[in-house]
Amino acid sequence: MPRPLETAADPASLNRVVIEPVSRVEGHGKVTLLLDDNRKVHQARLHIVEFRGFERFIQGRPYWEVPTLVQRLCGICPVSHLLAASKACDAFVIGTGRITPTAEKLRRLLHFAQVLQSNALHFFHLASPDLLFGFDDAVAHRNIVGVLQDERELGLQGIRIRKYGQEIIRLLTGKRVHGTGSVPGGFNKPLSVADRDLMRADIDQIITWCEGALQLARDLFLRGQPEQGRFANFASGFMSLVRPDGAADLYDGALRVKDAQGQLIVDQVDVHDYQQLIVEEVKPWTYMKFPHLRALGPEHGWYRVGPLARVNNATYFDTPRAEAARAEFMAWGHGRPVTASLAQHWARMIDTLHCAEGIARLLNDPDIIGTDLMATGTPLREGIGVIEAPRGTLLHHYRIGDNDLIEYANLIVSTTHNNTAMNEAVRSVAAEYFDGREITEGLLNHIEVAIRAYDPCLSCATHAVGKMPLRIEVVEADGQLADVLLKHEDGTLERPLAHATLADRTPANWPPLDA
Amino acid sequence: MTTRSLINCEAPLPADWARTLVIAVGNPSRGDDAVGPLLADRLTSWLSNEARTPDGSAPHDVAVICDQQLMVEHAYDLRDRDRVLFIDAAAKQGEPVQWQPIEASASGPTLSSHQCTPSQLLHLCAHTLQIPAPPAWLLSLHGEGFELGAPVSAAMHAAMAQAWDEILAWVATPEVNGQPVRPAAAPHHA
Repeated sequence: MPRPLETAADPASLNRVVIEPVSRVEGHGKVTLLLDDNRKVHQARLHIVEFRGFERFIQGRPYWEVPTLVQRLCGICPVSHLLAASKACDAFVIGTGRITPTAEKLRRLLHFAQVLQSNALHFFHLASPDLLFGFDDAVAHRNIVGVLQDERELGLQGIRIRKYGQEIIRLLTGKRVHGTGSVPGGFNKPLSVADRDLMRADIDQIITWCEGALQLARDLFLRGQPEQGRFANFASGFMSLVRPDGAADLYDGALRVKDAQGQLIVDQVDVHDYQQLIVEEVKPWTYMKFPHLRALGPEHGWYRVGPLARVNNATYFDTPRAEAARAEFMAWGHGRPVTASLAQHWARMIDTLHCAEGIARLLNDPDIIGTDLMATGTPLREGIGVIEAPRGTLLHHYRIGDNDLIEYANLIVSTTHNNTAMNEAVRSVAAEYFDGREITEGLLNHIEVAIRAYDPCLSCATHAVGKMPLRIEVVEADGQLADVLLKHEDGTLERPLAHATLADRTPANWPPLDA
Repeated sequence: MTTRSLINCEAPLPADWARTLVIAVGNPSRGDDAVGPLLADRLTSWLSNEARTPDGSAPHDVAVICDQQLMVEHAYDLRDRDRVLFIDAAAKQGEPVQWQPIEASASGPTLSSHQCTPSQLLHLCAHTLQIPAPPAWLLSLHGEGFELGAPVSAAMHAAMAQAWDEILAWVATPEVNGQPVRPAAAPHHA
């Protein structure tokens, strides 16, 4: 069973080791490791300081603005928010009816493009440097530029796959970011034959590259056994959307949850009943909530979402290459869910190949250039939209008043679903690699690798110049700063306390435990 | 004959590919981070309202791109440009408005997140993608707050007003000499 996270009876008495913020993930994160008197890691806390205010940001706005507005929540996956909000707000236009076939296919095309480009960003830019060069490779080299220097063709493929997805988004929405396209009730812009043909020109090449990347991700994971299989490997549930026949579906479906043994906990749960299925626990030390299955409680009901969950949960993928890859993946796990965190990368590239194949299929569907884009119906006052975003299940829930303004909003983003899992990943890695003395760059790298497997989008995101340094601090039991390690944006390291006096190490500089 | 492509760097560029590029970066809903999108919108509007030349062409051969983050694929946007201006908010700088010429880093840069810096982008062009890096400048405006839903601060509004005239001067300056284009902006150059 998963190990309880709150293992310490009196966390305030524990030593603290803090890493902030996490580099190469969105926004500003901080990792606190709580140590016991023997300097062993008892507890891990991944602090995410920006996940607040989403609902307040949306309330009071007219519903038709919401799909565009919510794209500003995230610099990496704005289209995911656009589509989840569009699906939720469909209810305010067409009630329980369905949007037109062309509108749904355009949304699906948009969604495939979004997941394709986001997964490509993750694998080629963020994960492949760790996997290709090793977790302890020099930070100045362990990045996309290092990949481009050492594996030039691979790096270029990553850039071009991402660009392909973004260009589809631009052609469908009018902009690379913050476009429209998808609106409550359908889609507002048809796809021209010329643009369809432009997308078609590259898709065979994209599929070939995605197949190559999938093979690379698989080979790197298998070559790294048994270490990569043990790394941040823990039992948990897995949740994702599936169709009535159990096929994976990124855009629509019902909720399925499996346990670590592969047994169905629930299946075909209507997304409109999510509040009966999931409860969001609040903890005093973070703005992030901890969703779990209501029936199993917080200790046993937490779960993972994302590519690993999608592959573990699906009865099948409806595109042939991705389905063959899924079957191989499941065979490696002997038919049971694969629970190793680093298998996320293998699963993510299965997901990516599925997107590329899905794009090819839609571009050959005559409906995709149709012009019947908007549906009508009897409007409702409450709507719920759920999709599988790149990082996992994304849920938008809104209610509007008689004036069509949003009165209630609830968003559960993928990173929130994965909150407990990420804490457990950090704890398990830190427990194995922390030597009880100081935060080494190696330990930092391992913790970051564990977090990156879940690709958390920590702030959704301001990016202003100078906002993303990395700070590591070690504090002794008496509150004195033992060490500080700064990792600047250019990758250089600095230990500002190397020549510090005792006064410089005053506890007054230390943030409160629950900050 | 090269087929049109969304991903081929050697594919023909559109006929209206502008020689000058402005890339503005920021999130319109995060306080002072909105400065990039706001200036991009204003510049786009200004360019579209400029009177056409007698032959019907635009008087300024300028394209404006606005994005939430600067990423490696923006290197492709730098192809066949004579000059580029990046506009962004800055969390740490003394001057409210600062111009600096940007050079491609000679040593291998580090891309630390879901974003990259202008100099890293130029490095990618020059050293990796074989795209000639155009002369480039960064116009950064000091931001005070970046909370979700926060308004643009009064200080940022003042900085934008100062920067606007300088942007127009940069856009209107036809020559590229590798130096800051607007003398008035020179004291702020890093």
